[in-house]
Amino acid sequence: MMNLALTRKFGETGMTDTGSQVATQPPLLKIENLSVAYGPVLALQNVSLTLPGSGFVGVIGPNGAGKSSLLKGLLGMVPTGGTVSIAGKSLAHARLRISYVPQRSEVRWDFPVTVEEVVMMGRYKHIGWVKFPGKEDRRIVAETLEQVGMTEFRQRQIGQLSGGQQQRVFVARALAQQGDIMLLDEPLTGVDTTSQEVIINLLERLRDQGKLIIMATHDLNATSRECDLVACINHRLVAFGPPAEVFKPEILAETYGGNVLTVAVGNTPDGQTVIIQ
Amino acid sequence: MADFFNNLWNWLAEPFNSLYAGSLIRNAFWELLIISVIGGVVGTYIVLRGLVFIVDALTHAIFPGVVIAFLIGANFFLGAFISALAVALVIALVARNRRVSEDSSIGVIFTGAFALGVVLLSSQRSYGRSLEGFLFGDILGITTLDLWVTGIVGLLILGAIFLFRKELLFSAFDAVMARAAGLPVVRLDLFLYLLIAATVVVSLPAVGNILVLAFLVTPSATARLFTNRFYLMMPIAVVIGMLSSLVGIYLGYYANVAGSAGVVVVATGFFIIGLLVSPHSGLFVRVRQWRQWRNQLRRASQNGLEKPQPEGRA
Amino acid sequence: MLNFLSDPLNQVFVQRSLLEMLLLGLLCGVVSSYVVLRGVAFLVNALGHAVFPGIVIAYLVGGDLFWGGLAAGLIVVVSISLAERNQQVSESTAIGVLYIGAFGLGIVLVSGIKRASTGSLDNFLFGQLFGVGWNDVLNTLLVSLLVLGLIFLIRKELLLVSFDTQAARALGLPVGRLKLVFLILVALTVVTGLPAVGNILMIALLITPGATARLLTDRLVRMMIIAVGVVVVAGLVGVLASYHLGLAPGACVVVALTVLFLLALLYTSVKNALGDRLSMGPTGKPVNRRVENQVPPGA
Repeated sequence: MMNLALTRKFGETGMTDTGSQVATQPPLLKIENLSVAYGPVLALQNVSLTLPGSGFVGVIGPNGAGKSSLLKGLLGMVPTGGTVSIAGKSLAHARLRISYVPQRSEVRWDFPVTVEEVVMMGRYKHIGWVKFPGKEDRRIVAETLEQVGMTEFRQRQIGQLSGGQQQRVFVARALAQQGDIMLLDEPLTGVDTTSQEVIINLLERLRDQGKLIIMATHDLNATSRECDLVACINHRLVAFGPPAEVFKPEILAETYGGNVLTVAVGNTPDGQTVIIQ
Repeated sequence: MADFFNNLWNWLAEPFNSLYAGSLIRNAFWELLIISVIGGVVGTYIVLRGLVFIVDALTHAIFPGVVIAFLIGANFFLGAFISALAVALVIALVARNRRVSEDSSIGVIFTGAFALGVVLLSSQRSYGRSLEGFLFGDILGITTLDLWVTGIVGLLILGAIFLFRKELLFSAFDAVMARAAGLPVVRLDLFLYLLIAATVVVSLPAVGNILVLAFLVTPSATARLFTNRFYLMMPIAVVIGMLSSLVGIYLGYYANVAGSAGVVVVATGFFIIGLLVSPHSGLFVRVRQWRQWRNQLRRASQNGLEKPQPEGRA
Repeated sequence: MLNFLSDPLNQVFVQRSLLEMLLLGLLCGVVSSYVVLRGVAFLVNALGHAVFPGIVIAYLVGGDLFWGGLAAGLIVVVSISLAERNQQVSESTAIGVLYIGAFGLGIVLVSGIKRASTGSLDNFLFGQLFGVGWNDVLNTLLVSLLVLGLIFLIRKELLLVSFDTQAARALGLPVGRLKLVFLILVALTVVTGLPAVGNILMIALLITPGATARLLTDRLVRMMIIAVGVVVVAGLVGVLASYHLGLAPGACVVVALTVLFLLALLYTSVKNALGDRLSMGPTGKPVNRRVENQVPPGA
């Protein structure tokens, strides 16, 4: 399998700037010794990460390496060891600050709900048990639908949309929750290029608004272009840092094991790092 | 001591030798043994192929066929068989609609078919008694002719399975792969349904159409708990079925319990025991495993594992 | 024609059974919508059978049949959910084996009651729609209020859990407890309808209306309304047919329900076929597209 990823050459000014910015921010999300197990299978071992209050973090690694497990472990959706704290608070007290976009395959698309109703689900915890959505909730839903460009589809049943449109609706649902941290599990997989762009642009905007975006993805290209920080996962944390520090042949080889052979990492004339897998 | 064994033997032999019921009980016993053999073999495919709900629907759905045959005086094997195939076909057609999931369509069709049977039967006066016969069979009403029919049909079923054992195993194990390998999976499934329908129909007179599900599924499900080998599942299932039948006969004789229902309860008891003591997945084993896994998870988060620490790398 | 309707409707026992059907329609229309959407038809089938031993035991010890049935149903449902955690037992196998075992136990126990055997088993299987008393109707009314009220209170959470279990878990909703509450509500519904329509027809009432309505709409609330309507129509048709033709009333209602389902299926099939031929509907709306890699909510 040939897979070509272009990495922007790590410019001295721009990226270091981001890097120092990241370093000076107070940590928002602190993951200490996180392990995740499904029965006897240890999916993730002893991952410790400290993430700033805002930024775009990519989580990469081969299939079944524990990317999803990291996100699910963060949210306490699977059996975990270790601790997660958000601005010094435990997960139970700060869960609402994290929104989550699940993998597409884990959703029942034939369900009779409209786009609007799906986005409203992001407000459920704010609305609370028993009560109906209020005017404010409706306003937020309309606003987030606008942001992902799905307003005209708001009355559609969710299964009638294309894969990319569905993904945008799910990002809108996470947005409607109005947390500071957004976790996305493979949001770009099986999604058309328009929707990929809409989603990436939106995530960039959110980062600029001071949110923390954590995206598990296969797309090394997008990761190297968009992310401020990259975590390489292969059942443990192989490397963590700005893309320029992480996208190195030996690190990628270790992350992807024998599955992917990194043939060369070099610089193109226009200053881009080329990774040939 | 010898006295004790003598008494035990008498106690065990009494049902089969009893003066007025002995021959009936012997017939019942042989019938149950034959059903155990067919059920254990066919059931292994049902359990592994995940067809339990469809089979449950089929067993209920032969009811209208039986009733129609009863009303017009036709052969009831034929009626049952035709209605089983018709219902399997309707379910397959309805399930092609994408809005309603397969299990919902199965539920709709089999309850509808069953209700149709009840409506038809209720056109007869005092239908309660014949109804009960259809639903629960009459284990003590088995004639020598019934035995021959069950035995011959059973041999045919086992022979057919033997001929297609490899293909059936492949499609039961991984239908998608089997299709990719060029096997006619849909036709194999239909073939399996046919065999299941035949099994259900020959078991009808003895165990009725509701409890037959247990004879088809429970021994094989129990066998699965005790082995990971496909071909071992069948003999184990057969043995479990036979043991349940034997105990059921004694329950029926000494405790005056409805025959086939007693067998079902005993077989279910074996299944529950299997859930507890299975060497691979029993509760006792798993409690220990859970503890291990939890410790493993805790150790993994205490930096103590063999892998080098990633911090040094990044 | 007038007599055709007025004759049965002037009979008090017909009025009572129609009222009972109406209440059951309201209850089952809503509950069956969730049953179909959550894909738990087989579990409902199991519940419908599994209440039997509880009813027999309650009868033997002179207890309340309602609570006996409810307890047995819940015990079996909990056992199923424990058994399917075993990796060597699939969900459908656990359901099939345990429900038929429980049902067999019920028959074993019934065969102990010599005299009442036949009658009580028939009543359990088919109910006596024309024999319901005012206390049965009142009971159904109370349970309907309770079940529908509870569903109304947890409607948002139930929707999210059914649609997207992972998101519900991520939001910190008590997913396991919500599923259990839902099954308790289903069990309550099953036990309530038993005296009137029996267990197998109760299973039909909990699957068919929702499935029929799902064929006709893509909206949850509309689905529930249609499902209720479907039961009411089938109830009326079934009761009238049964009255005039002297057939088993509960079974007539279910046959009517199934016919309505098949009609709805025919209607949507024809509509889809026509839509495909025109390639695009008049609104330019693409035909219901489905994503292949669906995973049931429990996975």
